[in-house]
Amino acid sequence: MSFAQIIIITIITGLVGIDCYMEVFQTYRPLILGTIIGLVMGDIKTGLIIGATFEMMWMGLMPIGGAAPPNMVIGTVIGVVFGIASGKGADVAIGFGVPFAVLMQGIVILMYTGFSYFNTSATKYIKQGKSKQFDLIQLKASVVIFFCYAIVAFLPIWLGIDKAEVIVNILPEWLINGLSVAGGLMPAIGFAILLNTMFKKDYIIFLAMGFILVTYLSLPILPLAVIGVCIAVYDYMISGKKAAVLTTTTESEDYSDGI
Amino acid sequence: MESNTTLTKKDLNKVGFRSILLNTTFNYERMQATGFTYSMKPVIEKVYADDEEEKKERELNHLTFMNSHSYAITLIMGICAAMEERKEKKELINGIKVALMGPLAGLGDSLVWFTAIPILAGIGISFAMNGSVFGPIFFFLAFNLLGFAIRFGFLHMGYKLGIGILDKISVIGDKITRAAGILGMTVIGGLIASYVTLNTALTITSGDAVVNLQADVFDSIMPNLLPMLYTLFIFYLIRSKKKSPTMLIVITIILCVIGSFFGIF
Repeated sequence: MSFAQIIIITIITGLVGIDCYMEVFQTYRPLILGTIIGLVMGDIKTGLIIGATFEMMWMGLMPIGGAAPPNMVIGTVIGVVFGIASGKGADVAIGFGVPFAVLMQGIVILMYTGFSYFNTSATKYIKQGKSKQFDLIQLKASVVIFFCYAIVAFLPIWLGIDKAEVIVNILPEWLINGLSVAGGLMPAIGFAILLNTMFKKDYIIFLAMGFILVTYLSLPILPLAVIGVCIAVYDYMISGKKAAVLTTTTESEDYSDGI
Repeated sequence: MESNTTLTKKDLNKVGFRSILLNTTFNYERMQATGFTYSMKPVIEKVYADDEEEKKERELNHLTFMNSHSYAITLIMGICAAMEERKEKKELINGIKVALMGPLAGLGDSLVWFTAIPILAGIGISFAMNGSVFGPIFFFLAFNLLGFAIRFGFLHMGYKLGIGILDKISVIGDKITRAAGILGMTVIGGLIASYVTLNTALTITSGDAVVNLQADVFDSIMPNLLPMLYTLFIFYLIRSKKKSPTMLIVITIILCVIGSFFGIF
């Protein structure tokens, strides 16, 4: 990996970090970021697969209302870079990515705390009638975010990239296999968190339906989503007219996905 | 109260574009307050162009506290724009903001984070796993189309509806949240079956017969049983044991490594 590649990845991480803080364009989703980093590393396919795996793990971990989950930007960047550099791909990406994602989680919490400073300067500028200065606060904050992300991405890659292959080669077979199994299970965490946020007894039957349609009929996600839309629209239309009837019938559903 | 309209569509769109930077100064103290004030500035500067003191008062008023959904919040901006235009009392504006930010955050979270992302990412992932770059491109374009439709749609809707929206949103909001829940749960059920993988390497030996637990038992009865059980186990840990996401990741890695060491996986 050349120094130029490290610099490009550092800059991308800083910019995507700003997007992650702003929650706007979603370039920070592992599926998208993993692909971009894979492209810079010259192995887009591995980037895609690690990105897709991480995407499922982070699916339920949204930074909502000041909650700070393990950071998906740093996790994805480190995971993809070291996954590709070590030659082991997705199997070891989780092992490399997660510790740094947790580290960045702590740094983001520090930013959430420290950025209170901008409230004070915003108040000051409004009172003084400095309109331009007030607008510039957004830029200042963005610069701080950029460097926080860029530095946390740069240091481990710059210091550790040569050793990635060596580290991976001294690991015993059972450990790599265990990490690989863990990689397969990471999506369960994302989905379980999603379940927890949306859970209502009424919905269990729909969860079971989606699971059964895919398990036994091997239905892809797109047609499954279309079926889901049909049922949701039907429910939306019926819930206004027959609200009373619907509530009495849905109560008798039980947990029936075959366990 | 004066009723001469001063705001144009263009002014509102300025608010919409500024709202992109809403979270750049997010912090635990006042959350999105600075970003919200930054977004509302074009409206306030136009309405109170000839009253410097009132302008400052109005801007400081928005700088108190704000936290809602990053996209759907523009509905509140639209309503506030309509109220600023009519030069309503600051207390009334604050009342509307406080009343709306919670419910709107809930609606936006369930629509965008918990329904749109799993579905669009799920479709993108299914392409990506086959090595197709179309996956992330589709996800990026589809999501942003939706995000900006919500951002600008809600903004103009909020402005038009002014205050009359309060009752309406709580009625429609519940119905939409329910429909989104049904759709989301269906897709999550499918995603668990598609993407959580867990196979056991255990075999049962009775006499001469060797039964491979995965191939002979699980795959013939219900192939994705283990992934579903593990997802429900994590769900149980979150719901009943209140474990944090970080803890769950650590638990999963440790269990897998130990299991691998003893030859279970």
